[in-house]
Amino acid sequence: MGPCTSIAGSRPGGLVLAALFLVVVRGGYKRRIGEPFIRETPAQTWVKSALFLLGVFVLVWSWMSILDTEKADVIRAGYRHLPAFWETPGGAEEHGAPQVPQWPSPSGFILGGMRGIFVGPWNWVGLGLLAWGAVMLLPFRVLAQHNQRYALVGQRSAVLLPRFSEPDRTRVVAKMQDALLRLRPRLREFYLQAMNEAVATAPVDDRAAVTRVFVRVLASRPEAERDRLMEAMAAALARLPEEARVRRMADMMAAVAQLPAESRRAFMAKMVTFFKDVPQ
Amino acid sequence: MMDMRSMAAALAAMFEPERKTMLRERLLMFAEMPDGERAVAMRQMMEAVSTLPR
Repeated sequence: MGPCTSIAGSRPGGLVLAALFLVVVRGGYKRRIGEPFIRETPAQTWVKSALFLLGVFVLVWSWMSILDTEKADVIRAGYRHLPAFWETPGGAEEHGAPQVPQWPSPSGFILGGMRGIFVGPWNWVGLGLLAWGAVMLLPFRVLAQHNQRYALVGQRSAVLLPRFSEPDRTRVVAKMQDALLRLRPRLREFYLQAMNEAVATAPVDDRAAVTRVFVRVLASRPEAERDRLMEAMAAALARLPEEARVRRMADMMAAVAQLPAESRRAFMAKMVTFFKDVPQ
Repeated sequence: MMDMRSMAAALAAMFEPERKTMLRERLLMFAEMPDGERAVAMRQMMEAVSTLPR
């Protein structure tokens, strides 16, 4: 029998490692994705959720093994709980205790007690709940976060941005466009659709303030970047209901009209090109 | 295709000064086009304008 280095006869290693995993590995991955939040792709959300599930699973498992709530099942299955040996003065060997499998396993540093847990029909209920939890934490969570980002982009564009001062709004819009340029075209269109859908419902002054800055920042970009964003903008507008589309196009053209003549000209030409070629 | 109708409707929805500015840009674009292309583009524009309510 080795020295008693555990908590309540179990092994705390999993608990510590899972907590470290969640904080260091998952936290590090989130930091690597960076800001603003629209830089996160669905694939990265999958990875993030998988890391979360793995970390939480090990954390809960380790916690359960420490709490020892399954003692009755374990004993019924013929396993002897480790503290039963330790709590006996002199140790198990000296008292002639039968050599039965031990739970948690003395070598189970991370997932102690795995063998002892699978003992009866209730396991199927547990496994069902485990599968349900995994479905909630993986595909549904990924979908929920994807939809949440759509809603957040709309909310920030239509409600928060108009409240900002002009320099702050310009800075936020520039960061937003930087992030949009890094995305795949489909995702870029997805967020621009969110933005336009929401801004189309805002009061006229808010719409004008947001669109003016958006167009001005867009006009200051290199041509290749501007074209990519305008192409995505045209595709996003094409997906809107006609009333919202017309409103947003009017906003954009009004903002373009306020640009210097040479920028205005180039902008108008691109608008006609991209807006004409987008399938509805 | 996203026809000119949305663009014409958007122009109609704008305030007068901006509408004038953008219509002038559009007319300058027409003026710089080759003849054949200009005829097609202007016909599309006229058709779009004709769909607007009176």
